[in-house]
Amino acid sequence: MVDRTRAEALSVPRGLVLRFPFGRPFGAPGNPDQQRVVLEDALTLLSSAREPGEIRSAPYRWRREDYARILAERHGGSSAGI
Amino acid sequence: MAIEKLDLIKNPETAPFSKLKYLKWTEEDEVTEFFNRMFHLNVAARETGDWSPVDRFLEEEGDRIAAKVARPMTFDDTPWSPLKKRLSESKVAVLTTGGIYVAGQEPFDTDGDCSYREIPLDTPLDQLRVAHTRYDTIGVAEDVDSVLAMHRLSELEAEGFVGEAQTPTYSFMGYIPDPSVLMEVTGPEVAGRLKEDGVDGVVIGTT
Repeated sequence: MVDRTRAEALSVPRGLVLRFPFGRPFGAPGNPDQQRVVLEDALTLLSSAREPGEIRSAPYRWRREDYARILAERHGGSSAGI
Repeated sequence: MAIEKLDLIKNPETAPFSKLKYLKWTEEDEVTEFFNRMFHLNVAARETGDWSPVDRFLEEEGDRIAAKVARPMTFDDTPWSPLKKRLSESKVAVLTTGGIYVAGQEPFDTDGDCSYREIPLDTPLDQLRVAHTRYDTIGVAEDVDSVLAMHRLSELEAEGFVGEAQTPTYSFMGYIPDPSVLMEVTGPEVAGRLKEDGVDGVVIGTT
């Protein structure tokens, strides 16, 4: 979601807020690494949230992140195929 | 040199301003006031060389206008069901409100549509289409994962990050002025189908 206020008003069970342009919930077309990072974050929130209505803000700055590096660091260097 | 719409989205400094599109649905006086203030801030920025007040103004106006025009629905209760298994043992679905459909299916009515489309995860890329006029769909039909991360989910399934990727998945078209049919019929219908298929958790890409 792009808007924390809206996510709270909608009482979503879990929400991941991203400062991305509206209409790009997983990232930019043609940027699979970015889409992957966001989907992993959403799934991690799905499994780790312990209370109803947990809304997390992702720190990513749209295209100013090196998403391939984030994935490589996250998966401990075993990034083949990521 | 002309700036393409896509370049604006690519530019991280302008990305949050995409909500300014809602300006077209505000009163004429408000539009005039917006441009007056914008003009003054630009003159000042040229003199000082500091453009950050312009950035701030655009971002704040975007939030304010979006909140005013697109008033969110509110709910008092938060539905809740904790994930009871590990992700690597869970069956997961990824859904979208991005108006994705498959060639041959009826396109969404972009003036408001509570229906949904079934999207098998193995749909050939060239068969995916998008019908939605309320967000920038440039490039989305060619790479639907920006609004429906179905191929990323399949990768996560192959790597064991999730137990199983649900197929088919479902797509809605998010511009729904009257959501009563969505809330009473089509929403519960899709939830029921996912439950029947044994899905443990859902990620929705909202547009």
